[in-house]
Amino acid sequence: MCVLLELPSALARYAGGKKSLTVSGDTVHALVAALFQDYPQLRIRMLDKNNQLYPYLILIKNNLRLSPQDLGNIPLKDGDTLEVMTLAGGG
Amino acid sequence: MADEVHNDAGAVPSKVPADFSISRYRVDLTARNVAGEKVVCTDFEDVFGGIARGFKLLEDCPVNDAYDSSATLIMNLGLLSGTEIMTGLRTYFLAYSPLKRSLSGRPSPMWSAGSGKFGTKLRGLNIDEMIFTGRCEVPSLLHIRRDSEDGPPIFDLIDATDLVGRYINDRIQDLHGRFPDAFFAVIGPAGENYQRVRYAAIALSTVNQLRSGDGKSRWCGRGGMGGVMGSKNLIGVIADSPDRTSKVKPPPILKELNLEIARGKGSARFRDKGKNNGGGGTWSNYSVLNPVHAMPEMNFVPTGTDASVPLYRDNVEQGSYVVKDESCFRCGISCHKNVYDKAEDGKAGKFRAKLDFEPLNLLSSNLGIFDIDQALDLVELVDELGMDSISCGTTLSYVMEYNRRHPETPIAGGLSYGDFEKTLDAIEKIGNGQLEQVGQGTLRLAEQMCEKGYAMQCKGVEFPAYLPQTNPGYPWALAGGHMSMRTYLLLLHERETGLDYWVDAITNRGLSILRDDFLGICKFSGMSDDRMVDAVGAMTGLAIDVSTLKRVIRRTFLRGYRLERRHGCTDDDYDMPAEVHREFPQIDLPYFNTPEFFAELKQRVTTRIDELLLAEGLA
Repeated sequence: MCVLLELPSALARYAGGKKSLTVSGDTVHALVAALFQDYPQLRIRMLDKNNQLYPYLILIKNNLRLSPQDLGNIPLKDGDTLEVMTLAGGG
Repeated sequence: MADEVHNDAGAVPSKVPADFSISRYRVDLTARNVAGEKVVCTDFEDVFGGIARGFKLLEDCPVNDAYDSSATLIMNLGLLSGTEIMTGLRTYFLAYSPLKRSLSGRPSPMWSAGSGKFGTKLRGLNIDEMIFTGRCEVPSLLHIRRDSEDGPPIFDLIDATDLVGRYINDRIQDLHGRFPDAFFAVIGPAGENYQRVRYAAIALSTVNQLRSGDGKSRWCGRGGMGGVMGSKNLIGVIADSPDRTSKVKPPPILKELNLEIARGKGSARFRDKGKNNGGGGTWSNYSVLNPVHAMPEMNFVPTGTDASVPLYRDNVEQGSYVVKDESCFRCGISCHKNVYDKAEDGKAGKFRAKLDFEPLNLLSSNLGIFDIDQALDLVELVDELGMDSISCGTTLSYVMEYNRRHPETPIAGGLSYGDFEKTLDAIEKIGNGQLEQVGQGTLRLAEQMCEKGYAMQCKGVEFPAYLPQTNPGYPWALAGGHMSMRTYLLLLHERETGLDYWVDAITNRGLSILRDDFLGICKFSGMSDDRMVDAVGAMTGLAIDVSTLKRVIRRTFLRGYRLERRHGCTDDDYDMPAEVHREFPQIDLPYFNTPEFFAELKQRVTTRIDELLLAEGLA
């Protein structure tokens, strides 16, 4: 499954500067694994020591916010868009 | 500038700076004289306004005392303030600060900006900039109005003795009753007691505030701009004009740009969760920083516990409160998180306070207070007295830490972590000028107590609610660490600890945050430079590209830095409190900001800035 992955600037720096890229994976879990294979520097910036997504990152699939607990089970299909968004900001 | 705002619909931007002029008014409060001038712009800085033009002005009016009656207070707009671009609401106040200073004691240049609708009204009065000097004989309001839609602004100084000592919202509501078409920039009791409170703020009234009667001002908080206004015996400014209706058809791109601001990725973090996948606003920092113990508690030393969990928004909403996302004038982001008591019907009842992350954190967790009801009272009181919640909170946490270390010789009535009642009492006293020791801010207090190692400030400006242990960029922030140097969350997001990375972060990437301090747009719009160039071109006709915009940002920073140097800052001023360089194992982020790292970083940053100054002809 080819999915369009959109990264925030902070993470795009570690994906060759690409803010959007096409990644393969049947599930979110598989997609992230494939992503880290191509861009290993992303791992420590997305997953904590327990391999959980950092709480300041959220995933949005086709404009629908995913629950962190369900990430591994979320199926993906061709044409899906998965967006990574950073929380935390000042003002 | 106001005359030129709006490009012809669809036209290719072709104007150069010399095609623009601004309406500037010099107000001598002593002589009760206002002189207007039309000033032709000579460069992009002049066109943009805000701090870009303000720094140029401050260069020509140095002072040794921020409260000297000859000191200059600038109130101006950015190029897009008061236009139909969403969030184009910013009003800027610039002056030499009573709080920010060099080690030599000289006041340093500073600014603070706020939204609300005051700036829109100023634009409607065809005013780009006002320069205040002198001092009113009695507490006064400056009333600005026009007799006709195209007529020149008319200025009247009004005796405001009746407002003295009253809380912020009370005086704004009073003024609203007297001037129903107007919006207001006012100081509170703290600004009136400027000699004993160095972090007084200026409140800008909002549409929601005037409609609801609730204390929902926006704030120009940092650096004591309210004290500078107070030192001029100027209680407030009334921008009194009917809403302006544009005579020019808006450019076609306007709708697209506003949609992007309201619903796009740039502002997503600041929107509510229910609004196009918003992140929930700055309050959500609690639930993302606390799990890695990178959130201030107990004077910026995280406890490493779950003590702050009750203050997460989700937990607050499960209690007896309703949180509503409300907004400034015509803004779709709705970043205001206004907290109400829950009424019997489950709906919003009495308004309690507006919670942003910084005021909440620095007036609760960082003081060892973990009760939301107490936090709401503290935030509301600081607002009503017209103080900067960041500086007030951080100075209080210094006092508490000092008292913890010196239980035999406590200061400020023996304030201690977690003591809500005494904290509330101290805030009331600070705002009313009865606790000068704390009202002078962290640096001066720490110097007095001869313990600066845990005084959480740089150049006299208290740290915002982001750990200094994780951000060696704070010393180079011109106007507060989270509003003028975008390095404060980099370690969390990017986890880089190398020198090259941090030199670039401070002297290059971190400066980008200054852009919105001259364009008139809120930082929460999150617009990319590409789109901002589109917006400027569409709304004003100014021909500009991204590289020129970036250069203006850089030059503006360099001018501010050069002003700091001219006003007494030496290498010794660009430093951090000694204790932030310690390792705190409970902070679940890489430890790198060691004394050795910082010493080398400082040398390289200084060298790099010197190179940039030389390259820009500003050395």
